[in-house]
Amino acid sequence: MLHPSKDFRTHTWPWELKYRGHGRPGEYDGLWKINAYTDHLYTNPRQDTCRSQPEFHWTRLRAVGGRTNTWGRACFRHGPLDFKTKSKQGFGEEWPISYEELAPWYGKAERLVGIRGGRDSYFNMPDGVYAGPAHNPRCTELWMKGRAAKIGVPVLPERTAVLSVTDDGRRRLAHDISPMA
Amino acid sequence: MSINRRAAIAVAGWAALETRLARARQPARVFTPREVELLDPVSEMISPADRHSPGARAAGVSEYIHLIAANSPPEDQQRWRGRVQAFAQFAEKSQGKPFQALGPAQRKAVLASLAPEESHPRTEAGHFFADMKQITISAYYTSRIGLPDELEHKGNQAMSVFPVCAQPIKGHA
Repeated sequence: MLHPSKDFRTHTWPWELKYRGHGRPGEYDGLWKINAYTDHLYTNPRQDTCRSQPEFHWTRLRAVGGRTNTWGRACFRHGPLDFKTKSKQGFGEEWPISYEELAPWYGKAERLVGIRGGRDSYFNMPDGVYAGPAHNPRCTELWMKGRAAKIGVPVLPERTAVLSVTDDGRRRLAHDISPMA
Repeated sequence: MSINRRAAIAVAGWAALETRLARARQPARVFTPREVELLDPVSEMISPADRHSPGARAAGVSEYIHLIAANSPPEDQQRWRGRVQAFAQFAEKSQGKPFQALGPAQRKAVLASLAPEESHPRTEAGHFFADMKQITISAYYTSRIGLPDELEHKGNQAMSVFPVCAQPIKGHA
């Protein structure tokens, strides 16, 4: 059973790990997402092999909850274009379903998970069913937004499964995750 | 599985463990003491003690470089050694004395003449400068002095609210 206070290194500083979290030089080269912060959760595909095509990189967790434990919590809907790239953009394959067919199911999943996000009405990035507005931007993000606006690039908040509001009776505690871990 | 095969695997396992322990006991010695005298000031020049921070030396950057080099695969250790030697030769050739004997202005001139190569090193000495800059930045900003003290990074924290930015960065509008 996974024990959050013991089994996560989310609050470990890099200098508390021998190689600042990168592992012995070369140890994790080519292993997606596996480093000294996470190697106790992931299986090492070099040691724990499975039968699959060589180009298929199979990264799995051995912990209750699986990959959700190290998931970055971004919850974007695919847009209408993403389901029909072959006819609309000339590459890939058509999905057998359309965005419109899937949209109600996205809504159900979003209500179940509890997501904060903005009503941005942006091209091919459909707004979803959100438990609360997007999180306030950090100072650096505001700075970035201002600079990007000067060259006409919009900077929009992530739709994220991080709640700091109570949603349908369940208390939620937000946890700020930096790219460090 | 037969008993013999099991015993053979156990012996092989022990042998591998013994090798690993022996390697762990070996002192980390990739660089000569003379080369150590070179690595330390180069890292300090890349991230010097100034009014912003106590600098690379205080952050233990060269110790980190030794740790990484000493625990790298043999071919990477060879590369480190080759590049530090190329840098030493370059410094002596361009300034007439070994790097360790140069004054601050001459040392700076050595680094300044390699800096243009940083993004696309053409020589081994240029590679050394690029490698040193990369590892110094990495070591410095993963140290206590660099990360929470200088960058004021607070670490990962549990938050119940996400407050509005209180002090916008100047010029963001």
